[in-house]
Amino acid sequence: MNVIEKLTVHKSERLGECYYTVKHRSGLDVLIFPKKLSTCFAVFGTRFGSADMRFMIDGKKYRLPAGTAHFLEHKMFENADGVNSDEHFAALGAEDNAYTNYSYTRYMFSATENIGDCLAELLRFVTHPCFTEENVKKEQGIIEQEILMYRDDPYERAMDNCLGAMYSSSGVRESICGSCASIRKITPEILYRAYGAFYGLDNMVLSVCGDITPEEVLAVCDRELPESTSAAPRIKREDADEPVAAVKSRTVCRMNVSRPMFFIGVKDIPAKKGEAKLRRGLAMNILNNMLFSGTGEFYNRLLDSGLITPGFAFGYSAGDGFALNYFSGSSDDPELVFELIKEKTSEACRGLDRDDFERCRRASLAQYVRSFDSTSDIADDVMLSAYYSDSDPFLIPEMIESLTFEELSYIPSELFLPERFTLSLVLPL
Amino acid sequence: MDYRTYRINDSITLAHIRTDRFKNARLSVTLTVPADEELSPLNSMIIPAAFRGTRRYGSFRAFCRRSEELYAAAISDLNGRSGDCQTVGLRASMLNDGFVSSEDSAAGFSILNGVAEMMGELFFSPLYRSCDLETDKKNRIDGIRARKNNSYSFAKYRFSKLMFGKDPYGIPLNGEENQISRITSDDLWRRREEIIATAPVDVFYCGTASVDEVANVIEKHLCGFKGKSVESLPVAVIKRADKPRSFEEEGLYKQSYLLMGFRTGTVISDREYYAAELMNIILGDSSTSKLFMNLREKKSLCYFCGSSFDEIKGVMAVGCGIDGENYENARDEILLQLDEIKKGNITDAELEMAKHSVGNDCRSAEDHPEDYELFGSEARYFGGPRTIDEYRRGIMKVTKEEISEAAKRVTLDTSYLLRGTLKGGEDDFECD
Repeated sequence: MNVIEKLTVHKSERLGECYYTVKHRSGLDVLIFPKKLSTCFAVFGTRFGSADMRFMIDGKKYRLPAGTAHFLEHKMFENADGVNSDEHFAALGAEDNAYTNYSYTRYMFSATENIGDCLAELLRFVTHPCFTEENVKKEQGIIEQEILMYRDDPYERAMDNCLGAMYSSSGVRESICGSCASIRKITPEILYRAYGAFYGLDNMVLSVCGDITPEEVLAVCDRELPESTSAAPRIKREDADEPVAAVKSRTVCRMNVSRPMFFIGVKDIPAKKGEAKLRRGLAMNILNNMLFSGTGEFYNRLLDSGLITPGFAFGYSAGDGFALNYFSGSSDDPELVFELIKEKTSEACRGLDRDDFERCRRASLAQYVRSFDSTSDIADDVMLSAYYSDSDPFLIPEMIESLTFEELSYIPSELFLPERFTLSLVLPL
Repeated sequence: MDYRTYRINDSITLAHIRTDRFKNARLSVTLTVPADEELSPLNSMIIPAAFRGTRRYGSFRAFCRRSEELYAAAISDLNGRSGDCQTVGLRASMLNDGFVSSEDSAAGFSILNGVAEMMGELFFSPLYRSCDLETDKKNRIDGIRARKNNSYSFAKYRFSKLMFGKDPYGIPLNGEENQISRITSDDLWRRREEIIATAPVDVFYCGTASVDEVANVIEKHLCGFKGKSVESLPVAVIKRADKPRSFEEEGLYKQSYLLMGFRTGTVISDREYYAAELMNIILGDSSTSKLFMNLREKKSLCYFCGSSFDEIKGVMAVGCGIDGENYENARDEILLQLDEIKKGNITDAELEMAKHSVGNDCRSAEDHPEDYELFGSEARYFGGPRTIDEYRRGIMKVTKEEISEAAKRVTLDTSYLLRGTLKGGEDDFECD
């Protein structure tokens, strides 16, 4: 059967857009979002993040040093012929990059010409690892400097320390880059083992957005990828035995900062993959805006009293095996901010304002439409919701509209419990 | 995209792009004033302080609510440089009016009109209440003290002060603590009136509205400016550095930062501008640059390193995060790679990659209307290429010899090392 016949078309009348999904014969999930813009953006991702440090293959247990996923991402750009993939992309007039977070690793390029060649290069270099003693050793010096850069960043420190205090055994306890000590334990063998476990094409996804057709994308996949799915190892991530409550309620460190900085986490029970995960994120976005945004009484009271600055931020973050609501900022009295946030969430447990709900839900719909203007944002967002959350991103507006006041009203009393909170402080020296 | 400029009145020039490529429209209003050690801190506060309340929107909360009603439009203040001047104003991103609901549309609701109305309030009807101002001043002073929180930003701040001194480029636009603490509501009022009476105004719009529709909302909400448009903006350029200066300071950080500032002898209006652009890309402004390939990939001295070329001032800065013990090694490697370009040691691949990079940037500008805004401003005020295509064609004609010649005009002005005194990757000041 022609692969084109297997394409599933997803359309949105509201946006006037459509995208396609197909399972390539190699086992790779492919998403194509045609968009008449000058820049084409492609992202090739795997479900392997820094938190994936313990797993089993065929019953055998493996442990990876902290920072392995990120280290592997750095090393993927090296090729057997000694030419770095950065150079291949540059010769094609493209810009390439890669990111690792707790749950996945993504490789990407943006280009305005030679799209087929760029796509081929992306598929080629991510499917052909080349790790040697020499190039692994060389990378340790580079990544050590990256680690030091983040360790000098008080926001990163506050967040890392918060996650470290909240969780008991999840991989999110460790920072994404690992530590200078942990990356020294990484060897070519460890990288090959991790690669073999997580870089099977049936654990990966390709998402492309730009002035390109599904036929053009799939022709490159046909050329560059195997004809059939290889027998992938049966990976089982070791489920961390995480308590619902935060392990520690408070953590403090001192750095060269002008005044105290805080990162407050509220541990949530992560929804399993699928619609529930996406729905929880959308609901929390609306709830956070109702309670803590500039449109509300709380933010303005704290701002006017000088307790917080305009840099006060909040949000909801979730990945495989972890989820949290967070608040961050700087304050002369972060303990009081912490107490006031807890007080506000207690108040929310007693009831929400229906008008606030309607207003924030409407704004959330507008934000959704506004997010479809950039090929990089679209390729990434479509991949995140279609692949990682197993939901059609075009159904998000319906999902937002289907969220009810009653549904949101229930969240505070089951999430904002005192034992779920952790306050992470970075205090001046 | 069809980028055109129109004179709305003596004060306002409108740069307009009509396109339906995007769901979002962009509107910015930029006022240009001299960068001045005394006045810049005040200039920087004129708009942010207005967000705390205007005649119609009495509080920050009221602004946020109105933005939300305007289909989550985002409005923020801007505060930057253009040559030796300071630019202040507002920028907004909003859905095009075609996305409003049929009920709102039937009622004559326009997001563009609503956003322009909010901008008009911020420019012409601020309250500047003393109680709000005191909170704003406290936050601003905290921001100034917090420069040290980010080691790289702090290094750049110190480097700029040391390299440029009393030159407008050395002036921190947000000022210093003692300047902010003295500001009163009366100062803000006076300065706002001076700016409105004297500053030329540039409005940029990109979206589905016609030039007449945009001109209408400007006339309705933004026509109170009284300054005169100008054809050029001042910028003092030093072509060559006299003698390299070297500075070193210590900070309680784990990583050290090296910054090197060069006088390039070339500015945007020069014939050699295109060669200088490529020289900078080949030296350090790409992931295949000489600095990236040698300082990082071959010598493993850093994670981050790069160069940037300020074509208005004619200066190039190189920066990298390193282990302090590798300072001399990194500095020598940077100078060595620049020397390689001076000697003409540029491969065909390096030249082609640099040109490809520019070609890609030029084409992708069509997806980034803000690039057109910047380009238009540089062409108009500083004699740069008139169109993005003219710029691209100029770049494509450059030869290796011209790049080498451009590099030969480069002289080192200032080296600055912020030496991190905390050792190792582990924690030094943990409390628990």
